[in-house]
Amino acid sequence: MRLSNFIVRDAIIPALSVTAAAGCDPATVAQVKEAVIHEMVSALRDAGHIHSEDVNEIVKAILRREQLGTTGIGRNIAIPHSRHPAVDRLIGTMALSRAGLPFDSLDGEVVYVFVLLISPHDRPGDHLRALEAVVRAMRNDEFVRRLRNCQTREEIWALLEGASPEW
Amino acid sequence: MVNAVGRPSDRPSFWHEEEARGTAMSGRGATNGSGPRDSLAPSHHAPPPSPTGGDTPAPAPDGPANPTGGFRRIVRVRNPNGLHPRLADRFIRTLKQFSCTATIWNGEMRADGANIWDLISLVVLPESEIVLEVHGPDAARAIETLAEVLGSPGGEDYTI
Repeated sequence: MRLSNFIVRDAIIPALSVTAAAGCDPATVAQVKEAVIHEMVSALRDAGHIHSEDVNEIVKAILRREQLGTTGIGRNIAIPHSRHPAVDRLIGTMALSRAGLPFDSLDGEVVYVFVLLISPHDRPGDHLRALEAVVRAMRNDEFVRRLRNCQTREEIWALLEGASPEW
Repeated sequence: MVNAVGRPSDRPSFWHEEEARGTAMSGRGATNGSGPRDSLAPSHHAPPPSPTGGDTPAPAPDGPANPTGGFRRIVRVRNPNGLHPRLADRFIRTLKQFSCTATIWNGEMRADGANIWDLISLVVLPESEIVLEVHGPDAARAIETLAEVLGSPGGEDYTI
């Protein structure tokens, strides 16, 4: 599976509107998490992949998942995700933060690249393969460098589509 | 190969240190992920534990895997979501309680049991059988606990 197989092009966010200072208190981090996730889920709604009435429930589900353990997996990457009946297939979006955002990451670093995944309950394999695709891509420092240099949705999409299979 | 044997329990975890190192490398302009951490990435080149036939998987399951005192066991992942990140995180946290290193094999794919990136990369589906290898002074105790973590349905909230 490749990132372009499940990331919704029209929901890609080249620069999140959320900002926060590094090293802020846990309450602020929680607010940042909610704001990032809400902005990304809303982008999927705006792209026509989620109904408006499902947005809040999906955000809540992803936040509940975050409370069980952060998806900030280190190396400036976070993969907020959840299963939810509002989708009938795996979908995702990607967002960049120019300044980096605190996300309670495992390595304590800010996050620059977010990949949000939503999948139906009955597709654990797709969910795991999508996570693997994200990790495989993000392990490649050159790919991440080029991704973070992208300024527009089109540039990000071109990178995802043109990336080598190993990414 | 980096290992965690002897890591004091009050220090940051091995994988935590390694991932932080990876971040620092990125900041210095490293062009790829080569290095100790990536040398532990799932690999098609590493030899898998060889089955002895039938469903008796690795040599001497539950017994010493080699003269250094390691242990090996076949574990069926019964979690309905497979080896997903939360379960991987639980495994890593449990591993930190021991002075051991752990390796997990999914077919020919191998993962450092202390590295969540490695564990996610394994793509262990529900009801898959994986091989758990544990090495270290308390490996005999550790493998019991770690196998329980991997093999338990979990009782977690599967809806998210």
